Amino acid sequence: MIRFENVTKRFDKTVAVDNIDFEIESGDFFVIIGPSGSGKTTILKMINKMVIPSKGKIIMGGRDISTIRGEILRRKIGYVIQNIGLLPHMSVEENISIVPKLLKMDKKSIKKRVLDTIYLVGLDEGYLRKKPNELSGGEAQRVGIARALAADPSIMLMDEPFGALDPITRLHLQNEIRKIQETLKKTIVFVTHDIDEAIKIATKIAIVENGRIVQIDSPKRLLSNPKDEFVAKFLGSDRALKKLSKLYVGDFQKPAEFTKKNGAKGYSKEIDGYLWVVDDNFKLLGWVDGFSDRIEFFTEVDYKKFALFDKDTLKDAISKMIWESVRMLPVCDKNGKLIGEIDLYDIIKKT
Amino acid sequence: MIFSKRTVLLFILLAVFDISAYKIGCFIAEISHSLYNPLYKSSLLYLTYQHVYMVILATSISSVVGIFLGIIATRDSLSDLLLPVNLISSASQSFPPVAVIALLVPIIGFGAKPIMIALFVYGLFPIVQNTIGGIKGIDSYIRDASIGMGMGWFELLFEVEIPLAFNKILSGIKTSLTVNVGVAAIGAVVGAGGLGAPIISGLINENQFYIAYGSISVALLAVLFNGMMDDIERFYGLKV
Repeated sequence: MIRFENVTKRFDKTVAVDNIDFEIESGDFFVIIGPSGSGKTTILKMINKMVIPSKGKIIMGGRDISTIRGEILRRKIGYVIQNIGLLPHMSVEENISIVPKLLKMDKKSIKKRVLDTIYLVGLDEGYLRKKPNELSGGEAQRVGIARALAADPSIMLMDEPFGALDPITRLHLQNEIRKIQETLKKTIVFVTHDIDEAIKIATKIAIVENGRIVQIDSPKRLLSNPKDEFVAKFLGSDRALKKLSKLYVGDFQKPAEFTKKNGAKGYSKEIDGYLWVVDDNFKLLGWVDGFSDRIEFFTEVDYKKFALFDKDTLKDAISKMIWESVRMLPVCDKNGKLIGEIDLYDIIKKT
Repeated sequence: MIFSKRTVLLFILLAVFDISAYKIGCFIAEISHSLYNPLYKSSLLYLTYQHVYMVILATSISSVVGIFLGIIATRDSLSDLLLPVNLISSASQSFPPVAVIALLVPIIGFGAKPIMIALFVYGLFPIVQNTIGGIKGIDSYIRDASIGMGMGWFELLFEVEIPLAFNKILSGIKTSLTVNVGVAAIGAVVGAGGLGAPIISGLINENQFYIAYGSISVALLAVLFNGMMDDIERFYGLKV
């Protein structure tokens, strides 16, 4: 747990951080976001004493960090920056070993940590001997993350780590850092100016403006209840659509009406609206409506393409509805078994 | 092997020239019916040794002092020292070595000492400048990441700054060393010996052979040193 108590930072006369007071809970993926020059990087750098507050206290795990020597504190906190900062004269292995060596770990456990972390970030042993200039941008940032994880810190600070990467690599790394955070239960403090990135990975978002924290909330709550005009504007005019990406089909589906292919309901003329058609194991085969003459002449669909899954977001659902030109879609489990349906009307009404 | 074929060849060429210069002189004197005596009083090999000794010793001291000053001037906590260090090292370069010798002889007398001090002073500037430039030239985010990982000043200096500035520092030493090979010839004026001795003696006695012995040896030596430093740079520079 990290607590800022009335922290102010002045550089000469300009106030970079203005009397902030908040708490980061252990295990949070805490994203600090704001326009450039809003003081978000300064806030981050105060956590590992790269910047010393002019006023106020920062408490980490019950201890005022001003009583801990900077180097000692920093060795226990992972640190990743946008330009990565791999040391160009050292191999990937040497780079990852820096912090464990500073902590005077023995050679065997350093080697083990290096191997553990390189696999954790999706690379392999083959990279260990390479020099940083032989790596692509994405690989280099993976090594940067491995280096920060090497000493197994409970807190990681990340300063726009994916800012310089191409969109596809960025997407991959966002997914992976999220996965790493969930499995290792690290507290991650992450600075970005990309609101989509923040919404995607954060469990808590702090919006910063002119050195002040305007609002701290979970992405979902932030999108539903922006506190003021600035936050609303920052979230973007499409914040309703962004919110859909944090909501899941599973929470909005309702029981579906269906008929078995060899089922009881004989003539489809009796059908009001339409019905999903399933086989004996309730696997989705297609649908029929009142215009079909007989149940046997139902419209066949491939559930993998047509159906939604309960882990899909509502954004996926709407996109699929528009693509298929329908307002209702079936929801299946991963084997294709029909478990419900989702209606455009419900999405609009209930979100 | 650190040294390239070119360097080894230059070394052999210098040695051969030093050994056989008298014989070449005799041969040229005979075919040109020269009135000058090609026989010089001391061995060129010994003079070369003296010369190398002065240059290397003086440049080594310049290197140690220069790198030290460069490191001191680039410490964040001692940033006030950057300007004075820059001033001192530029001033040392603008002092002509001849003037330094002229000033020193009345104080410490004739011999090798005044020229070695002059060489030390003259060689300081490129080394200080390149050390400062090399350390200041390291990308700020590399320092940022290193400090952020918890490196103290010691690790930062010896594991990041010096290794990354090493090439630039080496090229500063190369400049000093090569320039000093030429400058050291002046030492003969105050009795320091070295390869300047035949040149000065040749000028006084109007003996072209002496001048040729000295100047060709100095030129070969300068090219040899330059080549050796190139090789060392290439050998240690592979890392970055």
